[in-house]
Amino acid sequence: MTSYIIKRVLASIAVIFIVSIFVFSIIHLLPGDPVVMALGLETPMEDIERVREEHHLNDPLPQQYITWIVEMFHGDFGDSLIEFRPVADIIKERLPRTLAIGIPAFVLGILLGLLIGIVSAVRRGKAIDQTLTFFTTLSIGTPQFWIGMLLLYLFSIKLHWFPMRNLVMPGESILGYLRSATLPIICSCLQMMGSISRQTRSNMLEVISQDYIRTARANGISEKTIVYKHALKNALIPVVTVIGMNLRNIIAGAVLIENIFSIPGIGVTMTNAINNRDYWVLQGCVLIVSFIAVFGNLVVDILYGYIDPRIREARG
Amino acid sequence: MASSEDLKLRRKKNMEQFFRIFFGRGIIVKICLVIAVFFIIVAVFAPVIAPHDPTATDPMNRYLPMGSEDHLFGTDRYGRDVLSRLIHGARTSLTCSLFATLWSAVVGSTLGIIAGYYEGWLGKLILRYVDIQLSVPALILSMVLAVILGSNMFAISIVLGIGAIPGYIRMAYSNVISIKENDYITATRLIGQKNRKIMFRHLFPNCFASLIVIFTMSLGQVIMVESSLAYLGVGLNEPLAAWGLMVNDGFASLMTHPSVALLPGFCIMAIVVAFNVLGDALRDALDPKLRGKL
Repeated sequence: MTSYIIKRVLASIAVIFIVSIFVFSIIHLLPGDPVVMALGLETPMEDIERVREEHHLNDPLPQQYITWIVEMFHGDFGDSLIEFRPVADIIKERLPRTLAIGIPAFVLGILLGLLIGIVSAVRRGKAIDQTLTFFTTLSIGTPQFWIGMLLLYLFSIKLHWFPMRNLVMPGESILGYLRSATLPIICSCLQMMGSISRQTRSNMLEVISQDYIRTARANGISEKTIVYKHALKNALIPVVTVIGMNLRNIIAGAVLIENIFSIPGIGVTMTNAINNRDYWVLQGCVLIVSFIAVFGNLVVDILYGYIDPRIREARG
Repeated sequence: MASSEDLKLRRKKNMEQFFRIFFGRGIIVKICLVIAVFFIIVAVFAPVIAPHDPTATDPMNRYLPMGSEDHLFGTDRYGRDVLSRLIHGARTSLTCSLFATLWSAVVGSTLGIIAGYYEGWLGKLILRYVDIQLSVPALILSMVLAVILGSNMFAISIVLGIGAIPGYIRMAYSNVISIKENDYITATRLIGQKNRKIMFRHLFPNCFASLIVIFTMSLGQVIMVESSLAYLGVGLNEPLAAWGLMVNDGFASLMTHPSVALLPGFCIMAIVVAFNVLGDALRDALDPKLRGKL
């Protein structure tokens, strides 16, 4: 197990390294000179030169990369060219808002997904299975920005149950948080719920048709014990992978969710940075987000190896 | 030796079985087939069907309600006919995603077959590439690439295709890994068949079924990403008629004129769900063993 963990960690570090090269090159691949774009075309040459010098943009590329990485290890992501303050501060301020929606949505998505998947597998072919399957199909195929808009229209504009914007953080007021975060959380977890329940259902059905389940049945073990004790455990193993994949989707979904519900989190910051060509903010955000995704994947991989020894051997 | 008569009969039986399973999942598959065909026809004949020019503005008739004379679905904030924009939006979305799905299918499955056939360093390299691409959240990668490559239809198709490649690589790879173990592949190799020929004569046709399934499903997925990019303002640009753009455009008037934003979103949902369901049904019909694995 230890060697498996070490190998996974090393692989993740390698991935982070290559992702960081990609993120670093964003700035050089984007059309236009970042400094000129940010400061405006009328800026005097000396100012532009000064800013370029400040950001080490005149160094050779490999050296720039190394400077960038070293500065980042010191928590220095550069300064925003628009807001004139450190990117690290901006991320520190906005990431909690993204997580305040993302983490509950992630947990809710897993719980609802498993519940729906199990129920529809156990009642396979019955009306409840068909209804649930229909809804999961819908929830996977519906664009999040549209669901968000529909929810806003129904529950905020028509029914006035929830406010349209202004996320209140749980630290300020729990009630306010629940009121303002409910719609974004629901919207953010739907797709994940759909894919997890689909996976759970089909795994359950596959496991139930296995010989050892038939043997258990033949031995007169009650249906409940078979389903929840013997089948579920094995059916859940592949679901872990889907959960890992969904962690990424939740983060990417934040971009859409935050735009619809006007939540000033990482997602909105990233979209604004793209539109305003605020390169250092963009770099910082993409890097942080990818880092979270890779870390989440690492946790899932390790969990996977822990649950299923066969994986450890295959990938270790 | 099977006579050609036998072969024909077996083929006919296979076809019958295919259709039985394909449509055996109830009414929903049929509805989805109708929806998909409907949108494809609309997309192909968009200029003929659309009652108005999708980009023609009319400042005198802004925000006409649904059911207005001459504008069945009303007009948007520039007075453009919503129905015509929806129709042309189908054309934009389907063209972009079809092109994206096609090129990524070709590149992705080729890479996947190569990775599976020559496991060694080349295979590892390709699989590592997939891991790395998947570690950056897909939508964010597409946003960044869209800004780098530009927002015309061709560039967006390239961006969307890049997002779809890992699915094909993984599917082709895992298929080839298991097909390769068959004796007939070893036999062809022993006769001295060239690697390239083995890959495209023997391995590719055997992966075809599952690749078709991935193809159908990723069509829907790609449409979703395309509209998300347009919604975020980094995808296709105004004045082009694209569903995501229309949702974005209508969002400002959600309170007063909800239909402008909600109608195009409904179209996206309908077509994405339709392709997903068709992909599911196709998977069951082409290869029942794949059930639950895709």
